[in-house]
Amino acid sequence: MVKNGLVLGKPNAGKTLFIINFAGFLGLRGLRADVTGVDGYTRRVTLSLEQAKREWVSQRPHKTRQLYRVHLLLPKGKGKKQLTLTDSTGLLEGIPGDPELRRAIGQTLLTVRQADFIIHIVDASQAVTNDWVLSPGEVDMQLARYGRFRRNYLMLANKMDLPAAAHGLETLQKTFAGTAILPVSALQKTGFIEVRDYIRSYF
Amino acid sequence: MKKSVRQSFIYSPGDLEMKRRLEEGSLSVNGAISLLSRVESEAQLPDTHSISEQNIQSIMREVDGLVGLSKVKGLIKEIRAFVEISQRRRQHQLKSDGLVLHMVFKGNPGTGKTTMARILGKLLCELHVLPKGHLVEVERADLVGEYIGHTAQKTREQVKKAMGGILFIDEAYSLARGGEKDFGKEAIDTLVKAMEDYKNQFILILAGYRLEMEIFMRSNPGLRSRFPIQISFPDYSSEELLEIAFLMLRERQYRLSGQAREYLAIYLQEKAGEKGVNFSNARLVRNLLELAIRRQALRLVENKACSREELMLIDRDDLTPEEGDGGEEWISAW
Repeated sequence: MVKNGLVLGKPNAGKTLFIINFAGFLGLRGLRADVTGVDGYTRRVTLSLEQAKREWVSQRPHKTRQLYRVHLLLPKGKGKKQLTLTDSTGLLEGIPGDPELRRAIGQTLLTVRQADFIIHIVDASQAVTNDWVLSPGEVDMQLARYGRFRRNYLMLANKMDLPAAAHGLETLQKTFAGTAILPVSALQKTGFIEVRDYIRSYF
Repeated sequence: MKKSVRQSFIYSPGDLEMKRRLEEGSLSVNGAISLLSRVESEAQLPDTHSISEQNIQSIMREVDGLVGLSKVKGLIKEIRAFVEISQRRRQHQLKSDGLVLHMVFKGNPGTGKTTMARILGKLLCELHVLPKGHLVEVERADLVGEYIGHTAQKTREQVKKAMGGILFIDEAYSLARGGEKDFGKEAIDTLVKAMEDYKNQFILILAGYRLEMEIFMRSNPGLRSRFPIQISFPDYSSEELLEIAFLMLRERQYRLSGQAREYLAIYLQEKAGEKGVNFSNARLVRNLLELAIRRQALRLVENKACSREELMLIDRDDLTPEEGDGGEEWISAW
């Protein structure tokens, strides 16, 4: 039984890097992914983790415009469970000006209900700043609210390796009181054990 | 271990609407996500929900505004409730079998069969059962072809036109007339096949005289089970016909004089009592009134100085066909 997870969050929250490094943490050397473009056409790609980082990750927001469904195997008990994590387009506040971006976001939101679980990533290092694009904002509030209504929703406070993040995490815990928040660093691969255990509980 | 059954995912109309509005730029991302949680928490999109709720209310008012037909109205309400509950059940992951809403309308001419079908189309569209809800009205000649193989082709064409709406076959019993070699049978077979192939994509309504329809349904054992809803449209009583007449006149902004009203009441009582072959219920009333309106126009056209009151008033003379002017014949020809 394959469980499908959807990774959501604002642009540059670290969704893609989290998936790639999480795959490495689970012991994978390469990635197998189904890439669905805005046109709805799906193709399958295989590449090494290093390649994926080079090609998929960027410091610039909005690198990911397609849905990348990455196939993973999660050790549980004696066997392994099949799992996919879908990387999605970063969610902007308000109405994005770029029509293609609007389509990509629309496509992302349409798949929300299909997902067996949702991983919502916020940038903890930006929690105390007030950046319209990067800081956790209204979009994150709405997502957290949605998470309370559905099952299997998890919030990750990412970029805990950065100095501002410790204070940011406190702010997040206050802002999203009642939501389970796991601190992680997608870059340093910290906090992944807890995430794995959480995902395991969904099976 | 928890076991869950995963079904192939069908996007809800609310979600698709959300995506469309997001793409066209009339909905913010925040708004879209908040809609997601509302749908998840309650039952339906409150935004579009309230709009379609209003539309449904106005359609139900339209149904209530029809004269008579109390049984039919009850059935419409039943269908509406049934559809809504099935949708709510689906939201709670309960089983809800696909609705089979193919129907048979039995009744004499002018008893409101087409009107009801049209309203039903609108209602089912608002309830998201049918995507379009339009009405395609056909009769035997539109379905039955002239040579072998032509019929299936013609029938399929009509079904295609009706996709997403209602295919309304008037005088459907005539498809079974004409014996073994008649192509009508082929049309029926094609329709039955289409009903299976495009199960929830269109609704088939067979309409016709009560007796003929009953014989028709009995002649094809497969047909009866495929039409779970059978509605009888009774003839109107003379009082109901009179009410219909008043409604029609009010819509067109005309009034009857006292004498005209008396005459009409008696005339309709006579006609409804007779129940002749050509008694066409509401259509009889409509044709009579349209004739009267034309006659009133003829009476007033020379009089340049007629008042607003006069322009609205229909006299007894406008209603009574004069001897030998062919008015009566004109009506009965309909």
